[in-house]
Amino acid sequence: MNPFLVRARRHVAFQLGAVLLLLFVGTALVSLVWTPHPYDELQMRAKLLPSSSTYFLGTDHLGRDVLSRLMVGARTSIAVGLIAVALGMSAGVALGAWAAARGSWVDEALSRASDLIFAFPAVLIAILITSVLGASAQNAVLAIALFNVPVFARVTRGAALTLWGRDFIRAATAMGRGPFGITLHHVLPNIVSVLIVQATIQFAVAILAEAGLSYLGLGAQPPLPSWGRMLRDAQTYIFQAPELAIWPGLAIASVVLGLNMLGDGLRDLLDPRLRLLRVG
Amino acid sequence: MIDFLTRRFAAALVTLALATVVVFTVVEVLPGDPALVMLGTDARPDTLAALRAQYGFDQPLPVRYGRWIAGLASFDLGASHAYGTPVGKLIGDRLMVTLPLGALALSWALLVAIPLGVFAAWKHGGPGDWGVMGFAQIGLSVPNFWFGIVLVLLFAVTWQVFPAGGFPGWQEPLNALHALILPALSLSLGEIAILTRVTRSAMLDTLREDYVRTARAKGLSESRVLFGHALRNALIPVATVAGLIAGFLIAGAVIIESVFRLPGAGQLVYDSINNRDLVVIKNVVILFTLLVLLVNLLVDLAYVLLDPRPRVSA
Amino acid sequence: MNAFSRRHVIGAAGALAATAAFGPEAWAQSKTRLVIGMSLEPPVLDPTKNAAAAIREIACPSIFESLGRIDRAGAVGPGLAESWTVSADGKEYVFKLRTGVKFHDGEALDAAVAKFSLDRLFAADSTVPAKSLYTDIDKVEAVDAATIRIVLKSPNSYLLYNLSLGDASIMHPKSAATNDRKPVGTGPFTFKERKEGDSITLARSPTYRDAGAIRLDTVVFKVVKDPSAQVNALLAGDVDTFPGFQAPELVERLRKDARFAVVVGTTEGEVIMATNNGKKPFDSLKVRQAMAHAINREELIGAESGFGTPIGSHFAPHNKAYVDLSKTYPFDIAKGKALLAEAGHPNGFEASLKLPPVGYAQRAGEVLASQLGKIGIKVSITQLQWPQWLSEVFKERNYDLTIVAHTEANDLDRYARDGYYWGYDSAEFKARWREVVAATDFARRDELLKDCQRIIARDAVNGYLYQLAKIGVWKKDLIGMWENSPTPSVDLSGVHWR
Repeated sequence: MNPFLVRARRHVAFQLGAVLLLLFVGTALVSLVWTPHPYDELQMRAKLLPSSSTYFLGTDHLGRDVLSRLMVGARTSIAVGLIAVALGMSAGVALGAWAAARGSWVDEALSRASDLIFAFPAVLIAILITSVLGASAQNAVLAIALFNVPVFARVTRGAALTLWGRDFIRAATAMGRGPFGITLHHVLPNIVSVLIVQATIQFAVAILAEAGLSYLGLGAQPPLPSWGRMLRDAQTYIFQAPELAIWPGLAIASVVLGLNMLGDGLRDLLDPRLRLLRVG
Repeated sequence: MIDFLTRRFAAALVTLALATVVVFTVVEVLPGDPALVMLGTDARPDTLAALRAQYGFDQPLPVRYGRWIAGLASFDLGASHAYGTPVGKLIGDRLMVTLPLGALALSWALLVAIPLGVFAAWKHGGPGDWGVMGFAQIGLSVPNFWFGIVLVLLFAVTWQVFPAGGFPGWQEPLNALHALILPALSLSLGEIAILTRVTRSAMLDTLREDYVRTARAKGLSESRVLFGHALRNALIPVATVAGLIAGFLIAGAVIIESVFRLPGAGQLVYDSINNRDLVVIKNVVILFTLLVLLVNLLVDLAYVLLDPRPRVSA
Repeated sequence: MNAFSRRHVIGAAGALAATAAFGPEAWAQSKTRLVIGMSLEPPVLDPTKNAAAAIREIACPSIFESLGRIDRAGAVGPGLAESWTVSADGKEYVFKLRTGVKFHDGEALDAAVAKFSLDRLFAADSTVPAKSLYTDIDKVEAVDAATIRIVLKSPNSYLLYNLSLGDASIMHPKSAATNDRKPVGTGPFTFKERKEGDSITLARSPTYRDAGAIRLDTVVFKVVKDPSAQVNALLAGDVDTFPGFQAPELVERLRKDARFAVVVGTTEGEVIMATNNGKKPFDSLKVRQAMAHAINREELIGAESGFGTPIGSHFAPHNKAYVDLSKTYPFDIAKGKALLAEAGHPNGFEASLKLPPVGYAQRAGEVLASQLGKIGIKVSITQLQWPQWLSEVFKERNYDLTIVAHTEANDLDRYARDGYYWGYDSAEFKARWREVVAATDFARRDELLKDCQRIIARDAVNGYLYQLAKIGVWKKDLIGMWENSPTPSVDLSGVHWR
């Protein structure tokens, strides 16, 4: 049996994380074809109902089924997080690898640029960006992706730089391979595990960020549900229907917890000595 | 060492200069016309033009950028368009909420995180360690604004022992403090998680050092070994991370301020963005950026002073 | 003192005598501090520098007064002018100013000061937000120290009303430039201090001409933006009243509390689904009629927790010139679908609904989107910040549909404006509106106003949803608060604690 799987079977946190994540991805996929009720069906006569056999988690202020909205919200969260991380990772890895291969001014410019992005108060800049581009799920993705670029650029650069000093790469250079080819064939394949672990952690951070932005009304637009926005709406009805403020938060916390445990588990399993960046 | 610090300082200056350009550009491309915001839907085109001229919105971009930088250099932040009040006073008033909030959150975080981290390191690998690390994992995963809402639900709605939001002002110091407790608790959640992990790993590192073994061998009590020897040295990385967190706490409090309706600095920028009070937005964002850069520099300085080994820049 | 407030003071004196007779509550008479909750924070405090309604609520008429004064029924009475005459052709107004009026800094009011204030409104380089209300004025002359004459280019039947608005506040040349931060007026309260983002404090003016009309020593306007925080502030006793409570969904909770009176009154705010008549397919009358049939006002008002009155045109139901047109295009999905098919959209179409960041629009938005969906119009919602709404929707007219309340009184004139954001252009309406403005006989004007309402209802220019209610909440022992909101002001004359 694959040694990775053998160790994975002993790593409880990793398994828990994987189960939590699969649960949410599964829910999101199911919501594409089935929800208990249409997520945007208004029932003005069934506002703020408590849990019942018809509405498992009750209804919201417009009489919509909370469970259905949570399920579709999983879709929003996962889509926004995944795309933001994918975008930030592509750009960051490319830039980081370039800086490591080229050195000199490219490296210097990149580290100034990432200093710059890290120096900005992230939430405020994300608010500014969504104000410039307009509030929507797509623009929330862009704002979150931007902050992922320097994270991946730094991790890639650091990991790649150590590789560039190694003998097999020196040999490849001596054989006349260009920096692009070396990066593609020798550097990237050797840093994949670092990137996977970092991407898992960033996915968790991105889901938290999306929740924060949509809590401020800057994420996905209604009637498309998003967990952050459900919390914002729920806060208004906190006296009449306090449980409305519980479910979306629990959903965010569990999926983020799942990703964090998965990320830490992956790190233990792939390479316990990995140094990771954690930027909140 | 001096060379390293000089390079870090120069790099920080370059970053700051770039930041002013970026912030200015972003603020300029914000959609919406501040004159229209001030004069409303009945404004005539000629009135709008007159007001724009009055505020200098009609000047070319380089001139406006130059004026702003000249103002910054002479510590003149200008006056808010919306309030007519000097930006310095506006931000000063708001920091009177945000700084105490950040300080409360950070002290609480340290108070909880250090003992937890020490405990986890002491019980390394045992159920106590697992419990603490699990708690830290949860702390990193729970969105702090939701934690805030849950605290409101419990302490304000159900038991009614804390206010659900708002800030009475420091002329009522006890009430003001009372109003900051739930927000500080929510803000500290993630910081507790991070600091617990840092304390634990730093303690694990120092517990492996020779002098700790020597101390144990000498028969010193476990608590003296832990707190007297190991913790003292583990505190350096903890202090570093706490410093880095402090820089972000102030600007990062915007969502918590929003949950608890606190008139803090984050809310000031948020409101200013919504009102297109451009003077306030760019000055406050640059101020926050400067703060983060300063904290980073201080951390670098602390590293150099406490750890004389040469370092390469990250 | 005008007749109304005299009547009021006598009534209040009666109430006072009654409580005195019951004895134990006599101590409460000493309570002279009032904390008023506000949902929106005013930017500056000068109504001639910024259009925000919150400025008028706080400052007019407590700090600044105008020539006339709008009373709680929405009628114009004497303000700083104690009387006036209008020439038969409606083009000349002569105002007799009150004598002995002092500004808070001790300066005296005279005709020169009044002329200065009025000249600012329509001057060529004026930056007064409401300038367009006053551009019919040709010139203002000081006849003598206490008399001014206003000469119009053409008659304007709304001039007196407009001169009574906070926009036409009388200010002194010495303080006009600094009124944004340190407002100095002639009103019953002086500006004491401001904490940005938190509160504005006013104190009883020692120079006010009618000391008996002020029953409060300190008035604090406290900004509480969030609806649930407003409830908390009331319950905790931090705030005595919210004259304009913004969270209909939370009213039930306050009604349960015996300490508070919840008074539902009227406003001048028509909530409409503003429609871009200049853009396809909304330029088609049939499409607009189809949308009108899709609107279920009962459900929309349900989203406002039942607060609001259905309307079928752009006019407030409490006005005596109102005609009920809410049944012009009754709720009928089949009819809406049929009209849409007739207009060439049997399968509907896609439309954007751009919402401003205000509670009623947020509440109505999702409901309206679902209603339009039932006749086949697929609506996508975008939430805009207020400046974006102003630029994108209002100025650039880059929108299909939006929801907004038009809160000004007498705002039918907007249907006669060229280039207004609805893109409505009707020669018939414009002609009728010119008659309204030129009318010198108010009974005749009411008939003309009814015609105007019918024209825009027939043309289904916008979707007319409901009239916003004014939800006033105050402690039961607070006397004299206005229950309706004919103008955006918190008039504190005669307000006092029992």
